[in-house]
Amino acid sequence: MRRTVFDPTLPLETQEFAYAPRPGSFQGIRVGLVENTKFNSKELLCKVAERLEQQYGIRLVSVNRKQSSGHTVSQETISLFRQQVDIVLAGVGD
Amino acid sequence: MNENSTLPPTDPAEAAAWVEFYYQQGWSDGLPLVPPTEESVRAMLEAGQIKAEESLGTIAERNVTIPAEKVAINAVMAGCLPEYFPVVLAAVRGLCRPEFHYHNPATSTGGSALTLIVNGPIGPALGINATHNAFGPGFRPNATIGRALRLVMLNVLNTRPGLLDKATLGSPGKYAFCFAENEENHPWQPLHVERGFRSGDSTVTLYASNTLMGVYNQLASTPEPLLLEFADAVCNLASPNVYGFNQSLLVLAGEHAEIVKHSGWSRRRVQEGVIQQARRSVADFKRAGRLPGEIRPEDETTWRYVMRDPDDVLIVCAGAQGGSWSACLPGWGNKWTRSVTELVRV
Repeated sequence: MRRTVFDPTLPLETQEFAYAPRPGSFQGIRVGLVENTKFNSKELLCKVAERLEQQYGIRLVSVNRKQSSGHTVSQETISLFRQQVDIVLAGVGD
Repeated sequence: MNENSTLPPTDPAEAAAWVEFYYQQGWSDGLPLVPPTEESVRAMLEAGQIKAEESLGTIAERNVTIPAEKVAINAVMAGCLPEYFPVVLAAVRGLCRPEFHYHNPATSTGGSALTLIVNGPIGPALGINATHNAFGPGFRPNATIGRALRLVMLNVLNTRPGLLDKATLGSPGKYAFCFAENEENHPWQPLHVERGFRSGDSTVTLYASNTLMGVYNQLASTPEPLLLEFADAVCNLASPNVYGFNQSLLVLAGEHAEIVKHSGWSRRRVQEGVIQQARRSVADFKRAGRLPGEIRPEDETTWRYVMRDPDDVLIVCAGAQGGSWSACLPGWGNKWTRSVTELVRV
């Protein structure tokens, strides 16, 4: 007897991605921050950036505040980062 | 045996084996599933007047577009009758609305229960309970419509505990939480009319609730004491609400609905009364560790309000006519999810 099983799930859609080339040195590179709006997120990221500035000579050039922790970074911000920065730091505060 | 029921032609052991098989696939919410058949899935889609491949919407953060057939399969598994399916479809469309912002309440450690409030003629037509034990068990449409939505979240949107559902404790309401508004003997217009729909429309409102608190008052004879209690429930220090300026749902039930109705107070007056009293001092926040810093004398009289906009106080009526119980369901603790109301297409 033919029996049909109905799968209630959706197959996960996967996407190919590749990491951007890593800079050989932090010296003088431009850094952007993505702040996720959670408590202490901005303080934590800015402290990390400050230490990187002091120790490696990076330049903090852009801070993006997401709409909320659950929102994706907007395409406009991604385009801006592509033009303005060499690396982006993101983190979760709470 | 009920004299109106007839024994099914299949062996119960065979049905039980199918139930067990579906458990083994990892598709269950922990309760037995109804094994779908071609006929039952087709009947759902026909009742929803929708094609299997039709999309109900996309949730960008999950990279998922939801096809109607998957919703139909999950609705069958939840135990829905085909006539319930238009309500399930409307609820799933609501999930996909950008302003509901599914990813936040569905993923958060806060563990919100997604609450479905059904309005309009489809509620009584389907027998969706709006009276005794409106939040509780015993009613197939309440239980299975709410469950269908959760199964879609689990199976289609991968909102699985520990994976994309990071709830610390979760909530019993995450199994199923669906009720109809009791539109009879209502102090005002029902929720969907308040939100711009016609009284003859049927709608489902989707709300991310964080918890459920009973609001008890047996002696009140005017709205003022009730408002004080609602406000107190909304702004308790343990609630994430106190930070987010998000919405809160108040469910007026029983004698409390009667008191408000007979008072002649408008919905807006009640909403404003709650807003004005739902506040805590900065000193309270600091004592509770919800704000950093030392407590200064002025903190005792500096107020933080839980909500800014009276429209953020959602008020519906449900429950039995008797009793001195209402309920407060503070919203999930972030202002970025807003309740949405979807038309049920019938």
